[in-house]
Amino acid sequence: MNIWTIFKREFKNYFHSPIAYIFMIVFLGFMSFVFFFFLHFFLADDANMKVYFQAMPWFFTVFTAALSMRLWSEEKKLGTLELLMTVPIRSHEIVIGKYLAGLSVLAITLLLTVTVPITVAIVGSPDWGKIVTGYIGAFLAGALLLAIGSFISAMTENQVVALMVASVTGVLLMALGIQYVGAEVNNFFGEWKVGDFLAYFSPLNHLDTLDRGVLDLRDAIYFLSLTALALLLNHVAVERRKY
Amino acid sequence: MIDVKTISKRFGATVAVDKVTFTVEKGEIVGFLGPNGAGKSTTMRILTTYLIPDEGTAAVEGFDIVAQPQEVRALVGYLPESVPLYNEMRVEEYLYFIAQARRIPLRERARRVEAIIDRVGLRAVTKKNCGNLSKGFRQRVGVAQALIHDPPVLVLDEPTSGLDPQQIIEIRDLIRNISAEKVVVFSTHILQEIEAICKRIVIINQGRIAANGTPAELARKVLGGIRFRGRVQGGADEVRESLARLEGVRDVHVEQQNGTATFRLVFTKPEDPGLAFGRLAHEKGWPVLEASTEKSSLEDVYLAITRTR
Repeated sequence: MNIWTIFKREFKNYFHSPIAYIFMIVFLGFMSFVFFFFLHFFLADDANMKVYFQAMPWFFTVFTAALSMRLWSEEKKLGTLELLMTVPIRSHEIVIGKYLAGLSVLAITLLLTVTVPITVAIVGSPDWGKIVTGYIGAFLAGALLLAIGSFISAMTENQVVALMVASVTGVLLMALGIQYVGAEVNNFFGEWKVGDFLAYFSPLNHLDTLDRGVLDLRDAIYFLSLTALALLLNHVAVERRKY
Repeated sequence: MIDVKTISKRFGATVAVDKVTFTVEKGEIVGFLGPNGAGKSTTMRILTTYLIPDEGTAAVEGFDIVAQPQEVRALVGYLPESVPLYNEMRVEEYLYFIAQARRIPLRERARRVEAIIDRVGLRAVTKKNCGNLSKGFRQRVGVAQALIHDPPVLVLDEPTSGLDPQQIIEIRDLIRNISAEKVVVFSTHILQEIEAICKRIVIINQGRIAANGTPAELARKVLGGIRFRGRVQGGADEVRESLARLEGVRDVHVEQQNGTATFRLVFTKPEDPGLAFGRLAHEKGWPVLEASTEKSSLEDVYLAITRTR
């Protein structure tokens, strides 16, 4: 009930200002652009969506940072956090309500991209199984990045700082999964294999299996546990003000 | 009631609140007075569970602010100093949100929102965005959100700051009218305001309670007595002599002005100085032109306390 109260206000807030629309349109525009132009989709002989789903999480790093930047920083700046924290709603309910609002906008945006696989279906015969797992992966990766963004937003009063830090964090987290980056990190730390260890925490490696059309419980556990951790840190960041 | 016991709060090296203790009973309006940065807001934030004290305990209507914050929050209406409004929300929409957050049942929500809109005088701006309101209306929306759930305890941090005199009087009347059955704590640095509404004053300086009592009690304690002044028809010498002989009277100054004597004195006894003076004037048969307790007493108290560093 309390989560619903927070969710409703926060969700509406996305559409009170043009920011959500702008970022949604920019994101959708980029995705379509990538698909139809960069990949020479119409020239490819098989209706392969792999590259599309590989590109999506990279765009998500900025998109989710944009969705989460206001969540907490604006409350801090306006002083409304003081209001929110003195009504009979527990802080974890506020954390979850806000997060779910952002997640809903993310889900809506993802839903709007289905025009792409539909187009593919019209001109070719795509592997629907891979498209479904591709979407599951994209959603899970977006959910994780959004949770990280929300946590970062709770650490600052400045939306722009939140946007920047969250974007960079997202890109770094993704980059850890690139083989070349992992190898370089390994070299840097000598025989400790730090790169291999860090690579495990990158969404990239877990998306890989999903993009191949494989649903693995370990990947789901990875995304869900890391998302939960980010939200827990978010809660800690909010409660820290008390002391 | 509010019961605060030796709470302290530090931010890094600065001590914002230092062993503050006070109680506020039902039906009482208590004014927090003090210079900026004295610890008024921090004390209020602790009372409303926004902050946790480093030491000490506080209870609101018997609920502990640290152990039972949800219960405390449900009982308190709070207007923070920053007047927290969501700028992109319409006034009505904002009040509905607060009503829902305050868990006012759905079937009652519309009635409560409408009632508070009328009570606080927001009818003209219900469809406006909070971000486009004038300072006076912002403040009123802030007061409305604090009152919407009809809380038994009200904590208002500078409810009249930035308002014009007419608006100040309106907010003042509002506070006075709702206070009969409630516990009200509010802060200000306008001295006249506190004299106009509060039964009791708590002066906070450098994180500590420097004084706590009715304006008369504070005047007696800090200035050694209440200032009283008047003008009677009669000779200055006789007036001076008679007044000085009254019990509890100090520092008598008299000036002669065309057959009348204007006097000022300090009255140290706990009774009303007007009563003692009235008896004397009656006994002496002095026609009294004017006589009153000096309103500036509180200002002197305040300055005397906050100047000592």
